[in-house]
Amino acid sequence: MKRIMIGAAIIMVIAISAICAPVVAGYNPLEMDLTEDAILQKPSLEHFFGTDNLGRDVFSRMLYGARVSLSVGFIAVIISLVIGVLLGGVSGYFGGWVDAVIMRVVEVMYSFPTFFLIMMVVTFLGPNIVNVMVVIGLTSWAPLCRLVRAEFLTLRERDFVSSARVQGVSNFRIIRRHILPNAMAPVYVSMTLSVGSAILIESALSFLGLGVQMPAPSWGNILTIGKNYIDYAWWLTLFPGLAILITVLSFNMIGDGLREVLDPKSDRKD
Amino acid sequence: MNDNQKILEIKDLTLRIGGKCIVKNVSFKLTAGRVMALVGESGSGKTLTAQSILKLFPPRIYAEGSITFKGKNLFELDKEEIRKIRGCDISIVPQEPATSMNPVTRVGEQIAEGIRQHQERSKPDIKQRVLELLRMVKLDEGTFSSYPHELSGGARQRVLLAMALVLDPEVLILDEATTALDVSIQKDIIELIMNIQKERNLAILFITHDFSIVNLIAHNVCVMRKGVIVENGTKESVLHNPQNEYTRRLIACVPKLGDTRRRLPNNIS
Amino acid sequence: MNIIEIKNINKCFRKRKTAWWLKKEPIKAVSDVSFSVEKGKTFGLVGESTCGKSTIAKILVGILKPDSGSVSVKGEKDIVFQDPYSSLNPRMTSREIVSEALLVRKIGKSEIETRVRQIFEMVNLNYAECKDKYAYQFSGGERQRIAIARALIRKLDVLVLDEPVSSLDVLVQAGILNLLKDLQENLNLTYVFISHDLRVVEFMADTVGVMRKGSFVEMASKDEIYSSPKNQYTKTLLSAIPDII
Repeated sequence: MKRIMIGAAIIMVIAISAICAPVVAGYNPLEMDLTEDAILQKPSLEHFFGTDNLGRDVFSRMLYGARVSLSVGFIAVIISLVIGVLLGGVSGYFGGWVDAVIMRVVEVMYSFPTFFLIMMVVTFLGPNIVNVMVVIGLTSWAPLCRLVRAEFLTLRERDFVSSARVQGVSNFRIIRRHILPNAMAPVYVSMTLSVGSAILIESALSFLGLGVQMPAPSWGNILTIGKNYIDYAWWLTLFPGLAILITVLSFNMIGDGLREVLDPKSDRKD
Repeated sequence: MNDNQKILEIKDLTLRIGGKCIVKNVSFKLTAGRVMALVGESGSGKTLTAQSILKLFPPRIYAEGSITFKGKNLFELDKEEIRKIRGCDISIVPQEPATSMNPVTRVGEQIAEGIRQHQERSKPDIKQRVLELLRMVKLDEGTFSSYPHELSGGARQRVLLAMALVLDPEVLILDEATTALDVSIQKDIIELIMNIQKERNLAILFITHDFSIVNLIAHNVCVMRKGVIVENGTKESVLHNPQNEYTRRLIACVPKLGDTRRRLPNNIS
Repeated sequence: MNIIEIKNINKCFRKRKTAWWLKKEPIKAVSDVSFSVEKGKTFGLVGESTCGKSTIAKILVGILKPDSGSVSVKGEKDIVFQDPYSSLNPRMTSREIVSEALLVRKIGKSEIETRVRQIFEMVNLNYAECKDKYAYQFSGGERQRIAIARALIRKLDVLVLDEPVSSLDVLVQAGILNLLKDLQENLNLTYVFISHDLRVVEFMADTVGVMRKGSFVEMASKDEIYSSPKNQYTKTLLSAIPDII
């Protein structure tokens, strides 16, 4: 429980400051100042995280970058959640040839080097944030699908499901009322963990120039700039790196905490 | 009952979780060569009472009173001393034969484990002892190299019994040891337990919720309800002339063969 | 009039393949089972674990289909399972659980409300106290009452009871058995009562079938089975019952 609270608090702080970026930031993230004194300034009270090679305020750029990271994380996961739960549910509930087909697709998804797939697709469709979200979502549903299928397989044999069937309850209602609510606990856990990994993928893509395009800021492309000045402008790599680390860690903390809280064996039993 | 023969005495045992009292002032004695049945419904505290004899209860439980085994108060012993008593002098047969065994270890090895933990003996010597035990619980010697899942429920329960007897204990605690078995198998296992008990002059604490088994196996009976012993006496007196209202209900509410009652008495204040 | 007619049913389960070189061997769960039950009577089905009695229960209510043979159960039917922990949805309140069968039949809200209230009373549960509680907040006996209420919310003709009291304490068991007898009398129900406990079956049943390894070894009226059993297995079972006094 403690871990969930800490993780959630950190995410909340990041999310709120990202939403309120125009107020909090203090600088326009795109505003350049190419005078000699303005570029590559060390962190100071004026520029908390320093400035980059074009004299832009890194703190402001990171706040706007947080919008990108968080929204990519959430939207990608929602897309994979919808696909994963739908296919996994159908597969586990109905079984038979439908199950066989879906499981083969899942296996194919598993055996693809996902990151290269994403890179390829983004290269074809053009690198922008919407494409990145959609592609990450479309390529990361396989583990979720397996998880949901396994839950459905065990739940559909439970006595209360048999009972509902005897009473003439429709398949749709059985899934919605009896199976899905009981199958969701592990799904929530896996979801929070995948938000973290989606953020990592987005950062990596942006770092490689395949995600958010400059001059729009994202944590990944701030790192790209930082790479060139790593010898003397440490703040350009340290702060976005830390931001990614802390955000992903917080999501993992929530996930791990949820795993314990939602485990029916840990409490609930009288 | 001759007081000199008592080998285990529980006196004023009280167990608490937090501020809640789950077992209150429980006292009884076990005597060599006698079977004591501890009867109660779920939540009566009978299993916790048994577990407290070997300090097997969860750590957040706070215990008061004394449990004396051959003059030693078990509550005053340290971990190492308790470990020596577990298995060597007092051992326990658990309820669930399916989950009480390691599924990937051969049965013979699991029985031998107890010997290895407590005694220095040569390999052939240990094997000899295990085979002897298998014969004692009326299992085939081939069982030595079987895995638990290859055995029936009854055979598994026999193996657990052999595991408990491996170090020649003086006190045996059976925690609902026959509850999960089919009736026909249950009967055989109880006969086996009775024979071994007589042969070795064991003191047995038999925990059950089922009064009809009490009649088969016990010499003395304690009836527990909500953490308190409500009745304590010889089998004959408790079964034929129960003094406590609750005991009477428990005995009366089980349907008997040839029962002509239309309703069973079950309401209890 | 026979309300249940089972004729020569067979049911096999396919064993999971453990290795590719092994053949998938079917396990016979039920072989060539026939019986019938008159309206308002109780058919007792006795047998030890894995004898196929639960398979018959599931076939009776249509959860499983037999491989061959005919099953005819006239009227509405339902089932009560052994394990009251797994038979109630942990995320629904007792009222939601009991009322679901009416809800899916598009019955009006106020009518459902009165009917559910009535049923709770019938199984001796306090409606106001219980309605918003979840399954894990009830004791085993109360859960079993909720399971019975869920079945009886529809106007039932046949109730299949698959070991309904074997996971309960004896006093609670007695309460449930009494309740089942009362309900049968008041609602003219037909029971198929499945148990491993011959004493409980004797208390409940009119006709008894003894099952072993998927088929009946003996079937007769209660008096015949208990006073002059013909089959050796029946005799063994009867002699294994410990006498309480």
